[in-house]
Amino acid sequence: MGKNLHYSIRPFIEKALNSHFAVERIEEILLDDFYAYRVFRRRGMSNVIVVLSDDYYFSSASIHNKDNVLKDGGFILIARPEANGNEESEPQEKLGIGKIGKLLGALNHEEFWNYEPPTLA
Amino acid sequence: MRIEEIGVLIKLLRPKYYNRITKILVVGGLALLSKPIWIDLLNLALGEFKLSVIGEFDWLLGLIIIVLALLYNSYHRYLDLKHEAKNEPAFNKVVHKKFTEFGKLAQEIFPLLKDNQYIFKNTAPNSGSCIAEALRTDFTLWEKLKKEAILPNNESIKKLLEVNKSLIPYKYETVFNKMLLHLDAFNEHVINPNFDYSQHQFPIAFADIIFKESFENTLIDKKLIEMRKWLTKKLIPPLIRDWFIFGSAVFISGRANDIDIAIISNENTTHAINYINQLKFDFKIKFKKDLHVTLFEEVNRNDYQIFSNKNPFQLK
Repeated sequence: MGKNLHYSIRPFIEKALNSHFAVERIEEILLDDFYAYRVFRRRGMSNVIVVLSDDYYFSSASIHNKDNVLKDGGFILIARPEANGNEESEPQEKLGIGKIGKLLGALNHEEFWNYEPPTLA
Repeated sequence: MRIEEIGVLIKLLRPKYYNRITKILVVGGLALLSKPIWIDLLNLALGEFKLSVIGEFDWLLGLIIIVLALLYNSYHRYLDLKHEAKNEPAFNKVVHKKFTEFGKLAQEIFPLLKDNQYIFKNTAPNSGSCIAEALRTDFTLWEKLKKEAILPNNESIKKLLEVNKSLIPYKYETVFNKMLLHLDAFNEHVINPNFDYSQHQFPIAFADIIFKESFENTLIDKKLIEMRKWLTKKLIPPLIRDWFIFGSAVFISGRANDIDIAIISNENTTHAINYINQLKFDFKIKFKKDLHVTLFEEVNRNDYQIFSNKNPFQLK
């Protein structure tokens, strides 16, 4: 839980989202404990709520502490570039989990929670 | 009243049920307020025995309890908001003064160096960031932050070194002079991108000295000693297997945005998470700082070990 992110991280994420082909616009959601955005997508695709995690190590504890805004699904963005840990999405919860590369790939798919980035052969 | 002020007011008044005390008091107060319904049911069940707390004024007592509980909640919410960490370039918080000890000077330089290091590692070309995350190939942020953060940070480092020249131990003079040359060369490179500063790369030994001196100086910080004692009492087996403090707190505890702590638990996650969430709240109220917990489960003990090895400057 937290908003402890280096000040360079959010501008980077916002720029990446705003430049994405499938994204029409983004709106910040004001939460007490997290930075979050509502991502409006083009071509009739549904909106996606993206909540930023400031964890150094993403684990089941991080998922347990997720904000209520994700109760109907969304994407937990592991925002620290240096972070590691579990990046497996939770399809049954319609919850995508991963770093910025995975999020940008997932936004091209209506069922973004099922997206897994291609692995290098 | 400005919009931001209205926002803060709403946040203060909105019950967040921070802890069990607020919750119990509000529920108790509501029970007294709504007494006619439940007490009739209870008295019906009890028969002869008539239950009451202070008679006809039970509703007033209930109201007072709720008001007190919400005031208690708002006060803690105020503390929480007041001590919310603000992330901004390090040069904004630097004090350019003459210090009396080299360790204090190192601690003043530490956030500037750390800020530059973070920007370089995560946005710069040839920094390894592209390997760490394939997407980080957009260097516009690096170009922007070079001018808006690194240059003013460097200017602050230079000023601090000049003002406190007499404090620099003789054994470090060569490294510190190399740093001053690097600062000038980097500045020139930003103004004139064709200027080659490869002969004046950042001296890593300078960072090693600043980190080591800051770490040693923070060991005598009374506030940090108090925090460690408090945590030592709370983080005990069987629930907690091991823990350590890392990050900025072990270099500049008083000025760190929060206290980073890695914990590995022995028991099931839910129990540990509930305990640690309460611990974080208690810590914030006691020390006016956020406790930023990185929690590992027993099954992730190898990851915990790797994480520990990555953070050689750590305290228990």
